[in-house]
Amino acid sequence: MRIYSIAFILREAWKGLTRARISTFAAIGIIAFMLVLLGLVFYTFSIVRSTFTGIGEQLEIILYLKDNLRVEDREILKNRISAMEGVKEVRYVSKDEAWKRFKESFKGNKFVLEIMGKNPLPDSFEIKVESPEYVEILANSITSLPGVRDIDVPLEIARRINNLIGWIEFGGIVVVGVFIVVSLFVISNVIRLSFVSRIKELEIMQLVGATVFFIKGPFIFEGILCGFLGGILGVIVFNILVFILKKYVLSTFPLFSGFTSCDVINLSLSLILFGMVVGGIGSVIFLERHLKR
Amino acid sequence: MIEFRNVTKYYDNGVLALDDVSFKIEKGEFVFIVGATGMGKSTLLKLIYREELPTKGEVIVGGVNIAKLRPHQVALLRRRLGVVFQDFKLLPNKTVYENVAFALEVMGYSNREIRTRVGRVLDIVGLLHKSNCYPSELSGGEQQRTSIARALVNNPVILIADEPTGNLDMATSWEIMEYFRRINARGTTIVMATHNKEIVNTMRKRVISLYKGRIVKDEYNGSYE
Ligand SMILES: Nc1ncnc2c1ncn2[C@@H]1O[C@H](COP(=O)(O)OP(=O)(O)OP(=O)(O)O)[C@@H](O)[C@H]1O
Ligand SMILES: [Mg+2]
Repeated sequence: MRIYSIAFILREAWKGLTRARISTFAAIGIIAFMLVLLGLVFYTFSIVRSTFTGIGEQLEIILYLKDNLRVEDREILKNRISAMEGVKEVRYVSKDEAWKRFKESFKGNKFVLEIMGKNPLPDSFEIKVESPEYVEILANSITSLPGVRDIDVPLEIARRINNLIGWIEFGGIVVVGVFIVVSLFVISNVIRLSFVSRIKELEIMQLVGATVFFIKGPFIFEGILCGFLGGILGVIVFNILVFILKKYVLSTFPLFSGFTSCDVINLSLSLILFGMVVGGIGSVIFLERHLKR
Repeated sequence: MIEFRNVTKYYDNGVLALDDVSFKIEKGEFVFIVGATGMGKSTLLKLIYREELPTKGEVIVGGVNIAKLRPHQVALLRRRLGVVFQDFKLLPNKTVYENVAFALEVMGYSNREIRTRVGRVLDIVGLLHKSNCYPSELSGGEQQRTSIARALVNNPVILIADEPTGNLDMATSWEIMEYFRRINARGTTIVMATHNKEIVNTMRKRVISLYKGRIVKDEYNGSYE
């Protein structure tokens, strides 16, 4: 009994979809279009965001160590900092190495080197952060640690980048949110409209004794299927566009190269899932509105 | 089997379609509902298969008050009925075969069972050769016969037929009536609204006459006038 029922619902949904009504094709096309838009908007924001986070990741806090710090104490300090949240990497730079680097960068400038005389530079740590938002917090907690003489923090830049990322995220959430709502509205209505020619079907199904399960099943499946096909089509187009964008547009801006990352596969799957869910919702709305009690 | 107790039906627009109607139909009866157009025949039938609910009074079918049925129970009630609709109510995107099969599919019959049963009723109404046509490709009479086939296919306990011969010639009408008589003899209760004098007068069955929503005559062995 049940097996026949499930088979029936799937078969009906498939028949409904393949009966080649213009409205079904239109619905699939519009769903695909909305999903491409949604995908591109999301993609753009995540590219821009990851670009700025990438820049932020280049920031470094330099921590100058007190002279005559014992090696053990230095190691303890290093481990302590490494364990802090947001620290990506801690690198020890000995005074000799720092001096060598200094001389390197002022090579040929006898005057400066003569003034400096003997190596005046201290030992130091170069601390890389996971993202710029950690710079300020880390700076605060590091200064008071034992063995620290002084720190050098790119505070202003970090603040600006943080600010910018904050705005980008805020804008992204708002715009993507609006797009999600709009596509939800458009897609569910397109599905509903593609069913309008079949209101009579609902009535007849009820009159020959079909239970709600049998009436709703095929419609909901068809809505989901329609969303799925629209999703597949949309994702194909979206990926082609992303490919073109990467190859011909993004690569010409050095700013973007290297940092740009967006999980296109996950995004694609989410888009398809979104299409299916909204397709189902459209069917349910249609049924709620037109199924007589 | 079917009982109307002081049933009054007003439509939403205020039209009084049935006015204090009471009668009882026993199992195995064959009843004609007659009356001029607009007198309430279809309304009476719609109350039996619960497309409409009474404004006042009670409609009892198979021992239960139809106003008290929940949606799922309504579906189960309709499965025990066969209804030939005045306007056929065929699904436009299904073939003749699929339209008839549909009534069985919703009940979860196996495909093999469906094939044999549908084949049998289509043969009875003489439409086997049109199995694969869509309703839009059929004549009025053929659509009507498809509707009849769908009403018969699940061996209903009660057959409700609203002008089932309205679009048929006399010869075909008589074939259908002959078949109705046979299933009635096997125990199916039949309630049939009709304008067809000849059929009513020849069959000599119970006749309920409606005039402006009221029962003006209810005779066994009755006739149409
Ligand atoms: N859905 C409806 N809404 C409002 N009024 C209706 C509705 N259906 C029928 N009526 C009215 O109710 C009255 C009875 O209609 P009904 O369909 O029962 O007549 P009938 O006897 O079947 O007529 P016919 O022989 O032409 O089929 C008519 O006046 C009709 O206009
Ligand atoms: Mg009528």
